[in-house]
Amino acid sequence: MNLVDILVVEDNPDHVELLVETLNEYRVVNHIEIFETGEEALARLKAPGKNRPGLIILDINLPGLGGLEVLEQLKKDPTTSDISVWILTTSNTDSERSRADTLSADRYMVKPLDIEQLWSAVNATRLGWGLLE
Amino acid sequence: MTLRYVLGRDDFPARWHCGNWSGAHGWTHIVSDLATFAAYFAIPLVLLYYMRKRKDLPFAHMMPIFAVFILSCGTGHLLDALIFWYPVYRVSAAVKVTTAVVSWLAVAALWDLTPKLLQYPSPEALRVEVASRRLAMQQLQEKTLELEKSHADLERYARLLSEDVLVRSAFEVTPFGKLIVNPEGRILMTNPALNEMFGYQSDELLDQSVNVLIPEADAEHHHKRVESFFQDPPREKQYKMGIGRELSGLRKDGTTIPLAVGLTSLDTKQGRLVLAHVADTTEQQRSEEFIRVLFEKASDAHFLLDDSGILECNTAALNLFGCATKSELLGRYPTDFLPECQPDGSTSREWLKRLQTEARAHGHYQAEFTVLSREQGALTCDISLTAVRISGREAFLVACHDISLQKQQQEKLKARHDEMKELLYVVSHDLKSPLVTINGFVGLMVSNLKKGRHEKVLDSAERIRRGAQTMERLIDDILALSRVQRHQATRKAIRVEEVVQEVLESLASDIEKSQAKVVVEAPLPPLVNDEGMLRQILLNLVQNGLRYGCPEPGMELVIGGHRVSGKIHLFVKDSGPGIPNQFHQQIFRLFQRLDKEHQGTGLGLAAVTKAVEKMDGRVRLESEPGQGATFWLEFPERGTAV
Repeated sequence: MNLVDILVVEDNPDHVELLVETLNEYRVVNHIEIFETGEEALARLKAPGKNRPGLIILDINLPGLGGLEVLEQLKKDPTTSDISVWILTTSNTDSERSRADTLSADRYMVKPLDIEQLWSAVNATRLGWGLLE
Repeated sequence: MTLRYVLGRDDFPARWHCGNWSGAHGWTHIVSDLATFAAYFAIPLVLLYYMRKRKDLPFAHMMPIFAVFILSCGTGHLLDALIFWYPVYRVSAAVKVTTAVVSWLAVAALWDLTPKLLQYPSPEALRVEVASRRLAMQQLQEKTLELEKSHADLERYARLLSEDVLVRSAFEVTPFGKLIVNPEGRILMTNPALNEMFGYQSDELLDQSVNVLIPEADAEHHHKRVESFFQDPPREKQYKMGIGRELSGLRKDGTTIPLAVGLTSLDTKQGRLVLAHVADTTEQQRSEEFIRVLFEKASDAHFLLDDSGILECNTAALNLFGCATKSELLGRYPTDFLPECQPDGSTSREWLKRLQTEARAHGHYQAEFTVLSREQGALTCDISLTAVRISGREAFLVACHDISLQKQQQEKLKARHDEMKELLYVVSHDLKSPLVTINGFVGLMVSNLKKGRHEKVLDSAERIRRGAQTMERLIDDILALSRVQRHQATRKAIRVEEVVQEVLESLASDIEKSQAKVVVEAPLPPLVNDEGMLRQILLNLVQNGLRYGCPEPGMELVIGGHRVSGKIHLFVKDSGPGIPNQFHQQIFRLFQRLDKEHQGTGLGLAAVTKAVEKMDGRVRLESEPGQGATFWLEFPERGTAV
């Protein structure tokens, strides 16, 4: 099984640390790449000769380009539209949920991240997860 | 003595033979006597003729005496003529005796008559008498005629009254006052409603002049009207009196009442009369007045519109369209006062047409529109059109309510609401974010402690503390912003230098930390404004300057100001990295953070913007990347009173 590369777009270093720690806790061994802004993440995805990630974990409140705008661009671009995108945010408004839904986000998860919720999400996807037993 | 003796003529010669008569002399006697006799004989005949013709001749009883007297005189003369041939002297003597007797009888009779004859007036006196009698006679005749006429009048009226019971009751039993007037303006009949209307008893008005019912001021006009009505009654049977002017009636108690009067000309057998129908319009006028006041004094603009333009309008409509008098507005079309286009993009002409179509279809239509007021420029109004019919013609009752103020307030409220929504959203996010951090690292710390992995615990604790500090700062800044927003601005003279000193003292620890060189370019111009707001502004700007503008120790932060053409300009200038042009507007909005390195909340400059607004001032940024940043404040020298 090919392990998927995970791309995280999150500006709050504390939250990045928590996410990484949580994944480590569950012994997820996939490759994780972290970007602070949407612009940087998009540049990385469009850069030639780089591996395509299998999963993007995206925050909504980002400096500059917002998470939902990043999502829109990803889903519009045929080269990235099939990548799974999970929204991970502190915002829990109906308008953002429905907008994310309209833009075909694969999941919408609210911080603080419930480990069980993340776990079931991981199990439910047919992505290549590398888990240390 | 026998008759033969008397008639005997033998004792005397004929006169011709007695004496020496010449023929001429004898015949003169004879002819004269005969002529006298003839005349004397004719006189009684003439008298007789008179008597037969004038039976009323006075003294008629004297006539026979005079006749006998004249006849006996005449007979004497006849005998004198006959005696020339037949000497009947004895007969002659007898005749003379008779004549003498009769003559004395006549004298006696005349004498007897003298007193009566003396009583007869002279002809002059008679003439005067006759003239005066004639005059009296004439007057008498006139009086008689008058009496006859008035008698005829009375007879006529009596007949009129009794003509028909139905007509009579139609006249009596009606809520309208009725009266019948003759050409002289005399009241012949009134009905109970009229008596009550004018406060009279049942028959009190009969035979009075109609003028008792008319106020003095109107009497002259009324008189003329009545005169012309009788002379030339209008062709229509029923004539409305006083069209175009207010008619009023005078009551018995001296008060006046408004009236509507209709006149009918009655051509009766007895001549032309006028039947007046009178209605008391007090109630009608009162309700008309109420309606007029309701219309005129309404605060919303109302007007009536048809194809020919505006028919009628109220004062508020004049104000709305900026017209001083009705003549400026009536007959005009509303589009004359509307801008070329309406908010929905259609031309005002099309737009109004559409409104009329909708109102026609639904009876009523409401919309929003923009009107050009002469004084206030473009105003937003709420307009409603109601289709009505005026005198059988289609028209629209238009009501306009100026909602510019509400619109402005609505926009202000909406801006405020949007701002609050944004604040709430960002606050929830920005407050939640450190909470997630705190929660997460507490969990991680617990887990690591359990597993005995102590090397990571310190890092977690540090992150938890920073999260708590972020929350505290955020809460402080939100409270500061809220204070600014709620602040009731005041105006007083501010010594700006003192305020700057206070701000620098309160930021002493920040200044020390940044090791910046803070310069105040004294003197600073004084101004009249809100001191609390100025302090808040300077605090935020100096704090920002220290935080972002002085990244290296020893960098300069300059505070200065001057007065330019009635405005006070203050500035806070740093020599830091500067801010790119594209962020110059955005930076003043809520939660806009440009720098990831520093722990700003994104509320500082938003609070500055609010505070500057409260001071009627402006704030702007002058900066180029690498050239430092200068925040300029501009205030009026004396802030407007609040």
